[in-house]
Amino acid sequence: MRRILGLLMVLLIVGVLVFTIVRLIPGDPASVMLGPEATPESIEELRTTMGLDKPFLIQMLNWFAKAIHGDFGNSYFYDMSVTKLIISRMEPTLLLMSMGLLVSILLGIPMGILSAINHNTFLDRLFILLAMVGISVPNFWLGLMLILVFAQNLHIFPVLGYKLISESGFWTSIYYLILPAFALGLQLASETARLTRSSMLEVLRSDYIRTAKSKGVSKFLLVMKHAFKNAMIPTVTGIGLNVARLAGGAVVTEAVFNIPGAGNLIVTAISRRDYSLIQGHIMYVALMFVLVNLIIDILYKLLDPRVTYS
Amino acid sequence: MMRKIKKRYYQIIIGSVISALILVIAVFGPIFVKTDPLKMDVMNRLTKPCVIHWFGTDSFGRDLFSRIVFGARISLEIGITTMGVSCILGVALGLLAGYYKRLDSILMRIMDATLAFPSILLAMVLIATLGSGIPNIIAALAITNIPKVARMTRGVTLSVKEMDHVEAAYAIGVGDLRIMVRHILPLCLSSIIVVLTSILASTVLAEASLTFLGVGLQPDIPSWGNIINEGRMFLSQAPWLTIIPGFCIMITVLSFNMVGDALRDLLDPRLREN
Amino acid sequence: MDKVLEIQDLQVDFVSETRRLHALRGITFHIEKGETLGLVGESGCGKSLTALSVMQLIPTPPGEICGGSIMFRGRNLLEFSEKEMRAVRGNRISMIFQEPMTSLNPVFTVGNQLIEVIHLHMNKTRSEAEELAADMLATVGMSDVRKRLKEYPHELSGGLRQRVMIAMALLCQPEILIADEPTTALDVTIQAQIIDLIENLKMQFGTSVLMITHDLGVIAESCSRVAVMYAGVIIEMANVDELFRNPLHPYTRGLLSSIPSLGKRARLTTIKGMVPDLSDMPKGCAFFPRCEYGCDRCLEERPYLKKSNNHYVACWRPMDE
Repeated sequence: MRRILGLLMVLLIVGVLVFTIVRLIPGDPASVMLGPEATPESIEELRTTMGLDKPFLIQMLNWFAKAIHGDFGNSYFYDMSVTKLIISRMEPTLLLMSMGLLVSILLGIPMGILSAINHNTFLDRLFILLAMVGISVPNFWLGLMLILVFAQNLHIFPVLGYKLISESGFWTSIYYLILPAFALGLQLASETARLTRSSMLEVLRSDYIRTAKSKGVSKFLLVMKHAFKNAMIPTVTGIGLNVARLAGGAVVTEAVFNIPGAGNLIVTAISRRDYSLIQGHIMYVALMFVLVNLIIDILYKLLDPRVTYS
Repeated sequence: MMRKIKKRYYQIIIGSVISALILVIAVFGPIFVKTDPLKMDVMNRLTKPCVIHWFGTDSFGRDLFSRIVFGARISLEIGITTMGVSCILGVALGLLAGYYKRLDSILMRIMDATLAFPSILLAMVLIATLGSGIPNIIAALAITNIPKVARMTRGVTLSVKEMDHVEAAYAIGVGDLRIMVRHILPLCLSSIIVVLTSILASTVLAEASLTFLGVGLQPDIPSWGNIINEGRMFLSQAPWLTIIPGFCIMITVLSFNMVGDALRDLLDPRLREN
Repeated sequence: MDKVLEIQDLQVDFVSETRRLHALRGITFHIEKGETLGLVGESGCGKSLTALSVMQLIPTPPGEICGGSIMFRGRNLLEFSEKEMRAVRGNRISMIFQEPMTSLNPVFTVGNQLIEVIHLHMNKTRSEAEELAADMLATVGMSDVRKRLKEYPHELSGGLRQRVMIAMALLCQPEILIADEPTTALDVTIQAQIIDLIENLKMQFGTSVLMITHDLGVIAESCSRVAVMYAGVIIEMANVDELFRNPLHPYTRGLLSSIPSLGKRARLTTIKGMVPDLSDMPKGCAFFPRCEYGCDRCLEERPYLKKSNNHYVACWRPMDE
């Protein structure tokens, strides 16, 4: 319970911060909307319609009141409800992020485990080096390199763009997202590998592993059953903290691969000073993190029976 | 300690050598490079790497090599300054938060909220607010990094605060500020250094990403991110325009990470022994 | 005299990049069927290492068994493959450790960890295994067994956890139980209970016990024979009564006389000096630097175990009374 309240507080703070900062962006949405030809009167009129003339605090309270209902108003530029707009763009982004997460787990965790069991051997050192390269690679460049090799030269994957599930089916959509998912997930995979490796190394040194061995447990089971569950506890937490980076990376990846997702949306929103869209978008992102955090907490409880919650 | 250095021998050597090299290039390169990075020579656009143009030319005929050298200076300028600002402000906030309980809960809530957020998005919003230009980018990136430093400093402060010599200083009436600076701060140093190298690495990446998106530096500035962005359109015709600058970013960030990693290995366990 | 385990001249080294340390320098002793052999010595003399060697649980990058033999049921354990050792561990030879707090896996239930041993070595169905585990918990003196099976280690006290460890070790009715300082980390009142428990179970299952401890009181309580270890070698071995009554080795004498006795108000006697560092072992007898009765031969030659009337001692000048 206390946890949920804390997270709600986070949402509140994010809301206030977002609202304030966005208002500080120079440039007035009304004038941008109407263009350079607009007369001062029409700008004033539009501002009144949009409620931009009311005092700051009133604007904020109004916004919060509506926000709680999920109504973030309409985007200034698309003339659609912000919520609807974001939802329409969610599909590729969510799919991309999930696939990226999958890539990072499928690559990172086994790499970390192998590294730990073969501690200090050539394989371990190789993996450590690979992981370090992995976190140093700029992911937009990686995306471009992947396009260069796999899409343009080898013609295995499509170069750019995305097809909605409703258009050509689930697997086509996945097909379009494979390259982007790799570009997105590689960095997180390296982080995960490092984290898995260090927590695994620590766990393997524990007394209870020695006890298990003294019972006659095989090396495979020692690692995969006894050590694994314990080592996953800090690893899962780490992954959870890094989901934020996944979202940030998604923005960049969508730009590189021309995917019409939610990430792309916010970049244009910022350049167009689309206040309501920016605010709504960021609040949804914050909401998503709150949810992810909760999921991580639940996972944590499943893994580690020592944890209790008030 | 010497044994630890020997174990990480290769990493430290390679990492520091490359970092130093890049620093040297960044600082002195622009002075020695004869070709003007901004000079356009449309007759010779998109030439492959050759003797005259070591890295080839871009779509406007500008020499890629000199652009990259100048880009190095920009990236490092931004990276180091951001590192410095985050360090000073982050440490200050962390010390205060660790020292004064009441300040702690408010500050930490805000820090947590910031940390939970994708830093790129935050940086984008901040840059949109402040406008583009190098000082603003530095400010925006610093703001995204301050919570990391603050959090870490706060952690160390909290544990150090209970130590005997701090209590003793307090007992004899040493002022709060003095305690923080003279007694607590030195013990934070090793952790701070480690965090700083990671901030440097991530800032170089972040600046490149933001500039690539068009949110960072102006397009005419030869930042590595811009170079890649421009080269993107000619990916199939002139792949070297994209490959080379990206590779440079990777090597730079990698060397910083290597040094940071090695430093962490050397410094951290010692801190725990304390 | 039926020997169930016989260790001859066991040598274990620790190898690092720079040097090779001789941790066990020729350990020789045996365990008879049905007895409790005590292995006593100061911290660092190699008692635990000996136990780990029997089970072959020594981490082999730094550790290395480089000599000697461990005969068990007519075969040398040191020649066993890993697969063969796995069949022995937890099944024919079991071990319980010093720290019950950290020796149980925190993320699995007690029941899960108990049943694991059963599934590893015996052919039982799930419900049969559960029954066995529950029975065993009851045998080690725990109440409310069904509930306990579903609990996690952190929900139990230290004494209870050690009982679980004992239960786990005895489930397959091993021939040997190695107890490495089982009571050191427990409260004094619980210590007595655990020692009693081990003794009772020993008689019930016919297990032989190797009781490793630095506490002479535990030896007196539970052991029939005792071996004294110092700096990687066994320096004396005899029946408990005989040893207490007539210690032959100067070190054993020093140990026994340093026990404070109730009622007497006198200065505590200590043995002067310190245990030699592994990297700086004297050429001859390891105890010579601290011995009050040393002679020239002690300086040059390392004494070996000599037997007289079932009382073994490794000394050139044993103190016969």
